[in-house]
Amino acid sequence: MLIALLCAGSNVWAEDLPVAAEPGPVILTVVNSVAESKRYQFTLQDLQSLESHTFTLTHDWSDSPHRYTGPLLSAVLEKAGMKGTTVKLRALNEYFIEIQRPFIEKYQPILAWQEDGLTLSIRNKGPLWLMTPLHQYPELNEPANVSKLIWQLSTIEVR
Amino acid sequence: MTGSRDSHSDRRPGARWLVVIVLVFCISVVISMVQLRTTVKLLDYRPGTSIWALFQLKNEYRNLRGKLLMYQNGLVHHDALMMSYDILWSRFPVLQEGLDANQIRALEGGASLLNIAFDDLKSMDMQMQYLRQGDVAGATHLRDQLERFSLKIDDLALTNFHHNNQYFRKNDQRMRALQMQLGYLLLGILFSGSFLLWMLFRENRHNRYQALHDSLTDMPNRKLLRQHMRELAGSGKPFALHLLDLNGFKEVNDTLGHQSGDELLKAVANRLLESMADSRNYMVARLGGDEFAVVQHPLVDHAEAEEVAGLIIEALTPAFDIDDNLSFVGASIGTALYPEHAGRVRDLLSRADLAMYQAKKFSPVSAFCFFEEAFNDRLKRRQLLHRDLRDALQVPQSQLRLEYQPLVDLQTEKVSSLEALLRWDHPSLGAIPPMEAIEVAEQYGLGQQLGSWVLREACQQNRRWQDAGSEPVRIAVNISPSMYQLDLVETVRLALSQADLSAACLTIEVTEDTTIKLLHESMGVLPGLQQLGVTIALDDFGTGLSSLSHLKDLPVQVLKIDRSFVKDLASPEYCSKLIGGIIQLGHTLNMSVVAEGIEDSEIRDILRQYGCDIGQGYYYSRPLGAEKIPAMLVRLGVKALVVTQAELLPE
Repeated sequence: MLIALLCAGSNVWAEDLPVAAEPGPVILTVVNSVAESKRYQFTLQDLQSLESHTFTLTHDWSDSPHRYTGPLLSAVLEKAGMKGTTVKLRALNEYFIEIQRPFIEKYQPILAWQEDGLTLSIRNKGPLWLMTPLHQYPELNEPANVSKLIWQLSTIEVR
Repeated sequence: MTGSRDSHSDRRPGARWLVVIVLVFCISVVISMVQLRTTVKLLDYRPGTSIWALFQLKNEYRNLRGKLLMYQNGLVHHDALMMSYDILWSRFPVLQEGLDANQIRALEGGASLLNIAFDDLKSMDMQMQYLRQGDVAGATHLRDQLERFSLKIDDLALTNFHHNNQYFRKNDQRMRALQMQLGYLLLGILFSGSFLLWMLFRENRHNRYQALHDSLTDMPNRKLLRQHMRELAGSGKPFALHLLDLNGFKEVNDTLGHQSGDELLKAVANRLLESMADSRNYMVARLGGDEFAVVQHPLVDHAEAEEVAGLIIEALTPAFDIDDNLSFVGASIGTALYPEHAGRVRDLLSRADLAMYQAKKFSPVSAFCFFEEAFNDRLKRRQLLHRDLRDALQVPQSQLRLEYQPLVDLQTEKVSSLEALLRWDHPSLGAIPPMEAIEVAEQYGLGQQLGSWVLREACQQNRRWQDAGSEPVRIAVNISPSMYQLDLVETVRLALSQADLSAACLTIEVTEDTTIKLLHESMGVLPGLQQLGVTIALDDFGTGLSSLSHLKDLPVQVLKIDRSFVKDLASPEYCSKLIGGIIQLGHTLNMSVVAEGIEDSEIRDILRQYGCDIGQGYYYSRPLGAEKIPAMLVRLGVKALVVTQAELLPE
């Protein structure tokens, strides 16, 4: 399997590799959609180097609680130097949602890269899954807010 | 008449209705709560996003098949193919766990189809990994394999869509039905609630009405009367208060029964209302028993008040037909004027009451009387005397004593008997007239006590005289009306035996009025006394209204002619034959005749001439204290007591 993966070249996923000195692939790109030249790319290691937060909660797609870990979205945006108020989050399959700064400030969602101690793969809604503290705010369980839990997140566009 | 004849009859709904209404109310409330919970549950239901998720799955199938085609033609890199494969992969767990899975499970074969499709997809993993760019056959094979489940999943998505639609439609229908039921329930609550409120107000009004009205006649009661007068007084308007006490009501009540009594009261109420019909502002109230009141307002002068009192008497004059018995009642009316007679309602009531008492004295049938200040003084004196008499009776010797006046045989001039007379030496008011003392005693229920004391004391005194050596003499004691309520015969017998006296030593004096009035109730009393051997004398004869037929039947041995007949006997214009007639009458009925009030020898002579047997008066002796009697008896001599009845007859 390892040989097969190595042969696959760039088709290598962090979960299958020991942490190496060599920087991993870019898994998140943050773009200023007003000035497209301003963009910031994160590897998994970049995200792991930010302060990480953990929510343990049950959501609509699970029958039991799970533990999600990752940096705050606000910290990621700050790291990327993005100050815009509207944040568009885009998934690998081009599905996207839009949230506003006040929502982020109030609920402080995380970009989870780990579920129950395992790094999220695309097959398991990785590489990043926006997770809000559903267990702390009942209103976040309303359908409109649940639909904001975008998975397979790859790009963030700020304006 | 203020609100007097509105019929507030008992047409209130029964307790059964109340229970039904309360039940409706409670049931409505309980069902409403259940409904509300159901509705909230329906609204709270989170259906999940299986429709979306299945269409996404479908979409990712098409994507992957597209990617395979592009990859086969070298248009995309193997990474993109794998990403598409992984994304499709990631769509399965979403439908196998959580809310969406619940919806899929509701579809027949849904869950198993997804399981098989997922396994099928997983089985392509290696082929996908190793698919080379030019491998047309491999790619086509994979695409066909994908298409097989893609179609089935298309079907599943569609079925799921319809199923959900149906579910929501059904829910909508349930919601509509619930809403309608809720509407009915609200109506029920509204209806029963307003009914209960209405009943509450009605009950309240009814209670207030009852508190202020007399239940028998539906007239305002004492409380409302006071309220009305206070209002009038508060606005400074002059008015007259007429208090009415019926005369003759008690007799109807006693002879025809309470029911007839009530009928009579109602009839009286109606008469009163009719007589006041022209003056709607007058309030006619029933104060209880046979007491009524009229508040006359507006009022200009005395004459008007007098006129209304006259109207009332006139209204009650015709006979009342109660249960086919004609009954007559009169009214004693006491009238007090505001503000002339009293500035406060309470005082006005008591003053009208005094005036009514006075009116009762004027006539036993009907009379009215305005309040006068003198009534008040008299009342105060009466109340004082009442209190003091009660105290005095505790130790009678301290203030009460008897004096004795001889009755003298006109032929022999010897003492035939002594009349015991009550004396009350009041510590502050001095000597109280005996009539007043007896009236007070009768009025305040002390009559029996006082009468018994007099009887006992007279007998004891007689014993003391005899023990001291005086000749036996007969003593006459007056009996007051209330003593008839005692066992009089037994009381007399006891008094005699305690003093160790023979019955021949006692005369009981009864007045004509009392005796006739009580003749029916106490039929056995006089014969009983007669059997004891006590002499019975009819006092004040000629002043009462007794009929001669009664006189004939009474077991009376002595007739005492009232002093008013004797007083003017000497004046020439006085028809002395009247006295002669009375004496004759007495003798005809086998009674001995006593004349009271003999003040000089001239009158004594006239009486002697007419054959009068016995005389009493200042001419012979004024009433004397007990200590002076023995000497007096010696001076005049005592007519020997003869025990046989024959001795009492005229000689």
